[in-house]
Amino acid sequence: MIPLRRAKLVEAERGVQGGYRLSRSGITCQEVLKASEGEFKPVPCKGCTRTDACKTHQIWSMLQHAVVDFSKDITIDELASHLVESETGGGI
Amino acid sequence: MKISTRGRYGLRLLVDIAEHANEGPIALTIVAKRQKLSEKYLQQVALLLTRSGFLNSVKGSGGGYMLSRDPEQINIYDVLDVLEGNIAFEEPVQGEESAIERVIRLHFYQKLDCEVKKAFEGLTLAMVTKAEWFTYVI
Repeated sequence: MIPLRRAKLVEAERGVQGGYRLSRSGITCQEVLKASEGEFKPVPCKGCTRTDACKTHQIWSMLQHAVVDFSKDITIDELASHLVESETGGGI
Repeated sequence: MKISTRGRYGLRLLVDIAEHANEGPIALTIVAKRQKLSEKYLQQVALLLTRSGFLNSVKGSGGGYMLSRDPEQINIYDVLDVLEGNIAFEEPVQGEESAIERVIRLHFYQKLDCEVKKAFEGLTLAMVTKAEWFTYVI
C-alpha cells in the first residue's frame, strides 16, 4: 500500500472506521503498475552504447510502448465493474 | 514480463546473420566479435534456433549458420516465443483463483497479451534488418 499511497492513488483514513480508499476515479492500470513496480522496461538496456546502432532495440521499444499504452486504457473502475457484473466479491 | 538474455542475444544473432546473408554461412566467432557477445553463449542460442527451424547449420571449414528461409518469412513474435518459451503476461492459474484475480487475468493480462501479439503482427526479420517498420521514437 505504501507505494500506492506515495503515488497518491489511495488515501488512508485513521480510526475505527478507517481504511483505504481510491483517491479518485479513473486511475489506470499503468499508474498502479508504475507506482508498484516502476516503469515497464522489457530489457535492461540502460546505459548501452549500442542503442543507436542496435536494430533489436526498436523491437523492445515497440513492445514497451504497446504495453504502456494498453495499460493506460484500462482503469481500475472498469476492472471493478466486471467484478460487479459477475456478482462475486472475494479477496485479493 | 522481462525478455531474457537468450531472447535478446538470439534476436541479435538472427539480425546479424540476416544482414550478412550474402556472405554464405556465418561462423559464430565472427558474430561474437561483431556483436561483442560471448561465443559460448551464442552456440547455445544458435542450437536452439537451429532445432526450432530458424537457422541451418553448415559443417566443415567455411561452415557456420545461415537463415533457413527468407527473412521476410521469419516472424519476430515466433522467434521470441521460441527463445523465451512463452512471452505472455497471463500466468497459469495455480490453486483457487479469487474473483479479483480472475477479473484481472481475463480483463487485463489476457487482453494485454492480445495487444502485444497484435503489435508484433506482420513484423518480420527482414523489416527489423532494414529498420523500415520503425515508428516509435526511442
